[in-house]
Amino acid sequence: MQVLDSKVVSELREMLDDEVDELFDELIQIVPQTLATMTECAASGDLKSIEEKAHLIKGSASNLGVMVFAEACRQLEEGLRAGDISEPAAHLLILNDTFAQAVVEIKAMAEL
Amino acid sequence: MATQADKIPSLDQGKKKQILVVDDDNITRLMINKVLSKSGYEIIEAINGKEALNFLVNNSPDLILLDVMMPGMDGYEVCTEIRKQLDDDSLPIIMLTGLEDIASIEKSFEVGGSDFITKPISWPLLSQRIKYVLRSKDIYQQFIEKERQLLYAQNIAKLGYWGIELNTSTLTLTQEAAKIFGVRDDVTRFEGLFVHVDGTEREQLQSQIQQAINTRQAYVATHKVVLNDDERIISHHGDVVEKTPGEYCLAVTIQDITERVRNEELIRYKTFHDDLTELPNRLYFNDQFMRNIKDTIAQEKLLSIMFIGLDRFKKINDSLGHMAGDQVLRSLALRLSAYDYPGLFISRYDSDVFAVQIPNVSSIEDIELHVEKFQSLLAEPLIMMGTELYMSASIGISIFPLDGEKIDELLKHADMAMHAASKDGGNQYQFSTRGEDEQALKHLTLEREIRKAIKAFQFEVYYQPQINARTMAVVGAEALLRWIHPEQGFISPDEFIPVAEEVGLINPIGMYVLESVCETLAKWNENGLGKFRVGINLSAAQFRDEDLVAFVRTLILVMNLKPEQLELEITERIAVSNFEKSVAVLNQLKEIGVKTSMDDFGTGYSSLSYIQDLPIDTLKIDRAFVKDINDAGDHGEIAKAVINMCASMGIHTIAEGVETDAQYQHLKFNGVDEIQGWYFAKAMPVKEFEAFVYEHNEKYGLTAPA
Repeated sequence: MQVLDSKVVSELREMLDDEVDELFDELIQIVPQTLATMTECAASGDLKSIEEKAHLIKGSASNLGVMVFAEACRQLEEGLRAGDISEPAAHLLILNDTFAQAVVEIKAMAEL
Repeated sequence: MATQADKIPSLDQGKKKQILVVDDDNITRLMINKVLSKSGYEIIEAINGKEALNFLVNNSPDLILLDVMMPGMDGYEVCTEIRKQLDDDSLPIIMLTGLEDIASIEKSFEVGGSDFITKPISWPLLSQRIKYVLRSKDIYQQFIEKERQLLYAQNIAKLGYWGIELNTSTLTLTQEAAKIFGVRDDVTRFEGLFVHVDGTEREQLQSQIQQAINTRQAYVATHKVVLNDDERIISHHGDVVEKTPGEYCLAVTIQDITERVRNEELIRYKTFHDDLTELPNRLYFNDQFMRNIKDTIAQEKLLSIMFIGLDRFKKINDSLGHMAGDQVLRSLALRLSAYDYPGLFISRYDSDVFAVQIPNVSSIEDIELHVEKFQSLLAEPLIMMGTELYMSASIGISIFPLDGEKIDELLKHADMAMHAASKDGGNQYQFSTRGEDEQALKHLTLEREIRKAIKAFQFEVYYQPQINARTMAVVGAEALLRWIHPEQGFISPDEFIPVAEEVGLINPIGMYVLESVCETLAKWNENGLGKFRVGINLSAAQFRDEDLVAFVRTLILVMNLKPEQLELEITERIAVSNFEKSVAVLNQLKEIGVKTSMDDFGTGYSSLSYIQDLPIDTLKIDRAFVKDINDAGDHGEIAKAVINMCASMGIHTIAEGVETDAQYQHLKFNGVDEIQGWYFAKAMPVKEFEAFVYEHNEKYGLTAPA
């Protein structure tokens, strides 16, 4: 699994040209805010909200081809829904890490 | 890059298609917006179901992209709600679902989704997918619309359809077809369609259809259906078609053609009948002749054609009005058609002429019996407006084959015989006799030609100058009518005036001459050619016309003429035929200031006492007396006497037909006032007359008469 699905990105670039960068900028702006909110929810034990947020950013990321991060989101969402996860803090760290990884690749791509 | 073709997303070109995107994921919504905008769609975004439903209250997007997993109201609930709220089942709703989730795809369809797209979205496929969903929606809508139009058209055209699957014998029929046949639409056998068709017609129709099925060939049929005492006419156009290989179907279009057939019948009836009397018309008469003639020839007998012309019918129209005239015609038509005899055929041939044909008669005596029968039918008085009206007819008869073998000839001879009967006083019948034909035919032709000439302005007024014998000044002219026939050329007034007088056409011709002359005089007054006096010949009928004086006075007023510019000429014969009346009319003319003159003096009655008592201004010395003056020493004593007599009575004289210098000199010497004749000029058209005046004035150093 690629951190950034090059096929998706190139398809998007072909259709939208430079506007793709705006989409990634949007993602880079929204995801950290959402992750911060999810961390707060974890502290207050609001698992339902975390599940919803995970679903939301999973969708955004997967549609932009940010695959590893999206997969991490999916595991958290489903784990929460199935009740397998009761302490999401560790998973949130994984989300932070995988997203940071994705940002590196996105920026590298933008500089090309 | 999006290609140009991608930007034309559907069959419905022009307006951008609107897509509502419902997703709580901002980035995904933004992506969809960007990608689909590139393909030429207009995107409306809604972040949740509530927003989407609000938007739909007042808007009708062409398609909805709906995310399934949303907080609050999820996609299924939104979809259910949309389907509940909108009556448009054809609005496509594409559900956005997770790839792994087969259950959610099934549920999507359950709640009314039209299609699904899995996440993550395959971006290159998205716009294609939407394009095809929209296209099938368009096609579906067009299909619905066409079906609606077809139904409507079928309904208007009273068009129905029924068919049989030949393999399964399944009968199908449209509601309109059931209505046309007057049966329920759940009939199962085709024989069941024809319960309201009359027995023999039904058997024939069924065997025809059975044969079409057996031979797999087309059939056409027309039959009647009787429903609630109303007879309708139905046409069938059936054909056997191969729907799929080996599967045949009889497909029949039926139509209620009652109105069409009835209209056609009505048109046919109107074409062959007279509106007023409902009798057959001329066309039908001629048509019937062709049938009767065959029969008559076969039986070696005679066929008689009769023209029954009502006497004095015009008087009824004039005195009682056209309504009464029409009523008379209807009553008589009814009476005549009551006369029944095998093969006898009556038509209204012309306004007041009925034409009858009687086939298979054996003798003239037979014919006379029929004619007398008609006469007695007509003789019964009619009650019109409370009074009794006695009618009679002039009947002309021609006989096949004695008077001709063709209908035209027979009609012509009957017509001529009818006119002869009418001329002899009416209320009688006459047989056509060929000997009289030539004269009558010429007369008839001339009459028609005169009528045409009046309408076609073939008449023209010529002017023959009248010159003062002493001063040489042109003082006036005699107006002479010329008929320039397009084929026959110049036709002499001597030829057509008597005919015109006889058939009562002289008045319109006379009026035309009067008007034409007054117009010309007015023109000459205005353009300074001269204030001429023009002599116009009046016919007996014109002179006796009660309205003559008023007509002349009006013309003078309207054209702004001096009354003395008109000189109305009558012949001696007219003047003396009713002497007292003539004196009265001449006095009336004198009162309005119009000049009068007597033409042809000395050729007829030659009574000098008449001259004394007639209030005329001018006497015209006939050419016959002028001709007597010649170089051989004859000095025209009569002309001289007339001039002297007139001088003593204060009557102006004009010598006609002056052709030689000797004649002119002699007449001048004897004191004639004016000269008219070829010696100076012939009668000529207005333009030439004008040129003549200029030339003449110049030649003699004269000026125009004031």
